Order: sequence, then structure tokens, then C-alpha cells
Amino acid sequence: MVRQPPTIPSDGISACAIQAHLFAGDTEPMLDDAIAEVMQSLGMTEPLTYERREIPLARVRIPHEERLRGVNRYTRNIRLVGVLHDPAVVPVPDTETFEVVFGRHRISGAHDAGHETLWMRVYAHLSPKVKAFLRLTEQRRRTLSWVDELEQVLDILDDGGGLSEQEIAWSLGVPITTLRFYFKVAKLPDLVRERILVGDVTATTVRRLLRLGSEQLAVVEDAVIRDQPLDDTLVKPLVQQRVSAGMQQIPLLPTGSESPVPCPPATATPALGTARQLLHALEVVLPQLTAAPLGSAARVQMSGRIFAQEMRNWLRAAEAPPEGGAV
Amino acid sequence: MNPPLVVADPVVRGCGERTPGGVYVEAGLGVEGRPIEDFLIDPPLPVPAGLDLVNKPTLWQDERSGITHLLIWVGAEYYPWPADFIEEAKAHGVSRKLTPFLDFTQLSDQSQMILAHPRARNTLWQDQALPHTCHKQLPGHAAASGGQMAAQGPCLFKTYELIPRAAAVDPTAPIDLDGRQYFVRMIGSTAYYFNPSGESVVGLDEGVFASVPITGFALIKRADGSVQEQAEAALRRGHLRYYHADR
Repeated sequence: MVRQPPTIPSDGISACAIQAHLFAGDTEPMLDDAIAEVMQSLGMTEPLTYERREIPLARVRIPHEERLRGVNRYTRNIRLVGVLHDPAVVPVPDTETFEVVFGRHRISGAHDAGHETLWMRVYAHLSPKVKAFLRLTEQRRRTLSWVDELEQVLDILDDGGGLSEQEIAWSLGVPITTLRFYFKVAKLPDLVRERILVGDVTATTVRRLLRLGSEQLAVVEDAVIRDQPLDDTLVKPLVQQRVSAGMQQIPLLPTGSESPVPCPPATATPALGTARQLLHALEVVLPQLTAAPLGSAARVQMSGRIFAQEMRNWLRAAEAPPEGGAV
Repeated sequence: MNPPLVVADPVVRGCGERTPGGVYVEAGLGVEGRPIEDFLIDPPLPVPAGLDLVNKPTLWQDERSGITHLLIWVGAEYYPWPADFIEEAKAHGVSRKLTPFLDFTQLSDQSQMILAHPRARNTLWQDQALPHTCHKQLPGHAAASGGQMAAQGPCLFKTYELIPRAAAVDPTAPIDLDGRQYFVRMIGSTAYYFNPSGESVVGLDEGVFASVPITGFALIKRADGSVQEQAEAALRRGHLRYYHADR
């Protein structure tokens, strides 16, 4: 297969030590069928290609830079071991700058660590959808905390990448339920959401936050403004308050030493005619169950046979003449 | 002296057989008890906002009485229709698996199981026909008697009629009764019959549909005869009634 090299402007980066070579055999392998399906839906019929170049950090633009958290930890790490994986960028049209697709923390950390240039993957122009796809897929390949995943999802939502819910979930490698959890977090009040992104709120507490109504969330917002800890001590009582309000509507059984229990359906004995018809229906149906493509067909059939036998016995007893009567 | 323990039948249920080492909360059937209908909540009520019940049995303390109750979600994967669970409970009592890590000590002999199902509330009730029968005989709930009175909400027993015919054991074998066609449905060890109306099920929404007493707990024995020790210790500490069962 012959791949066309991407169209990347080479002017304006003469200061870089360019190691320009195309990675003909170095495109990422398909992660799985789900990824392939997303790529197909994005019109990506072939794996993406890129060039690897050393680029001055002064020419790199980081989207949502103000939202980056925990860059210090990247800086410390980069000082010790350098940048292990290349970030990715795309050229900004009609300029000499590049925009980060993924690796924002690494680039920011490298800058703070005193690096002036960094090796990066340079892709040709990418559509917003493909950029979102790459960002999420790269996220999937690193083991990061749920807060990092959440941050990525919030960015994608803000950028309006146009990916469907399923496509985002597949790209990020998370179950759709996890993604919906992130979507719900995205709908929390700004102050609360920003506090979560700092990373000192546990996932359990966040799940509890999602169960609050606007009235209780206002209390949480107030606590955030006053810089109180956002933990279960604050949130749990608010959830209980909300649940209790709803539970007052549920009618409970009277309490006391004579609490009743349910009784067997002895009084619900069907009429003989109904029982005969039910038995007849079962006898028609049971042989068909053997061939039914059910995992539990044998169990169902066994239960049906026992039921039918009990019904036969019951019918026999119900139809028997009274004791002492003539046969 | 304590009255004899009322236990649920150890039959194969809609959710399968009880598993060795499992802990099950029960509402058994007692001959001097009351019909199951007395324990059904009709109209079913919305699941309170803020409550996340799915697959998570939850303790809730009633501030009015100080009694803690157990809220349980009956999942549609094993009981697609509320009737499946109600009919099984009617025939064999209620038995629900719990996590052994639940704080059993909060429960008491006054505690109840409050049950919710994802299809218990028919939100289209005002646009659909009245059910033929309301087994709680509530005014306005059924076409057969008092049906002209204004109902105060959806009838739980309408959910029986909304079960599609395709859910029958044999959708081609109706039983003719009272000029209507009934079909047999089987769930676990329970068979019952229903009369599908053919109306839309899209209005079915989650709801709280029953509150039954907790009659005790079953600890299912493992092959070596042992049971879940942690749960047994907690049940003992909570002075709750329990027994060891083979299945």
C-alpha cells in the first residue's frame, strides 16, 4: 500500500533540528473492532500518518490551557526522565504555529522544566471530529485517573467535536455508563465542577453529588465558595434529606407485634374449568419447550412439568366424589 | 417465645437458584397472613428523587418511626414485568439476594422490604383503557367495577395487561375465558396467565410497587456445610431471625 505523505508546511521551522521522515510502518495498529468502526464512521478509510519533528515550544498553542491541573507533577517527572511519549500537534493554517491535539500536560510540563523544543508527531490538517477521536483514543492508552478522563470529555463537549455518545465511549475505552456519568458531571454547577477537576473529590462523593437537587446543590456551591471540604460529611446528609422527602409518600405497613405476612394463594383457587384449560395449555406448550432456543429451557420445562403434575393432582382431588358417595 | 419462622420457598426463581454462600432476605408466606395484594402499592409511586437503587439494596431510616427499611430494586433482566415478580411472590414468597457486607445491624423485626421495578408505573394511564380487573379493587381502577369513578393514578394491575402477547410461553395458544384471550407466562417455577391488551408499553416507568415484611434471612450452605460467616455474625448482632438452608 502506498501512502501519500501529509501536507505539512516546512517553512518557518528552520530553527528546528528536523528529523523528517515518514513513519511508513509506524502507524498505530487498530485497537479493536470498535475503534475501527468509529474510524469508518469518521470517513477514515486508512490509518493516519504523521511526521515526527522537533518543534519549538514557543510555537505551540495549548487549547484550554487554563484548565490544566497537576502540571507540576509532569514537570518533576520530565526533569527526571524526559518526555517518554511524543505529544501530537497539527499546523494552524496560515501561521507558523501548531495546535496541540494531545499531550497538553506533557508540553506544558516540558516548558516549565526548561525545555525549549520537543519532539512531536505532526499530523496534517485534521477535522474537529478526527482530532476529538485522536485525543480520546490517546487517553484510552494511558492509565490515568477518572478526573483526567473527565477533563478530556469536558473539553470534547466544549469543542463540540461532533462525535456521538457511543463513538466517544469507544474512543476513550470506557463503558457508556461511565461516559454518561461524565456527562452528568458536566451538568453540575460550574463552581462544583471546577472543584471536582482539582482532583481532591472522591468518585463516590461525586456520584452522590449527582443525586442532589438544585436546592441541595446550592448548599454545596456555597460550601465550595467558602472553601470547605467537598466530601461525604457534607454531601451524604444532603442526599439523605432529599431521599427522605420522597420516601414520606411511600405507604408502609403498620408496625407492631402483629405485623402481617403474606399468605399463600389458597383463596385464589381457580375454577375447575379454568384449571383444565390452563393444564391443557401447558400440555400443548411443554413439548415445544424442548426445542426452544432457551438457555434455561430444561429448567423451564422441568418447572412446567412439576406445575402440570400438581395441577393434575389438584384436579383429581377436586373432581373426586365425596367420601362415601357412589362411584 | 418467638413464633415459628415463616420462610420463602427454595424454588428456582426468575433470577435463578439461590447460590451457596449467599445471603437472602425473605418475606415468607404464612397461612394466617393476608393476601399479597394487601402489600402492593397501588397506584405505584415514583422512585424518590436522589435514590440510586439499581443493583444496590439500600437501607433507609424512616425518621417518623426510627425504623430502618430495606429498599430493593427488582431488575427487568430477570423479571421483565412487575407481574412476574408479584406472581412469584404470591406463590412462593419473596427471596432477594443481598451483599453480605450490608449493615444488617440497622434492621429490626419491624423492618420492611420496599420494592421498586423499572416498569411498575404506567405513565400513559390516562390515555389507555382501564384494566379489566384491579385486584385491590380500588375505585376507578378497573373497567369491571366502579370504573367510571376518577382514578387517582395508574393501576398497578394494568401492567399485567401491557405484557405483550409475545412474552407468553406460547403466543399461539390462547385460553378463551369470559370472551377474552389469556396466555400462559412462566417465570422460574411460577406459571400465571395474563390477558394482553396490545396497548403501548412505552409509558412504563420505574416505580415503587410493594412493601412486604421481612420475615427472616436465609444463609445458603456451601458444599462443606459452612455459611457466610460475616453476615451470620451481623445478623446475630442485630438480633435478626435467620436460618441455614441447603438451597
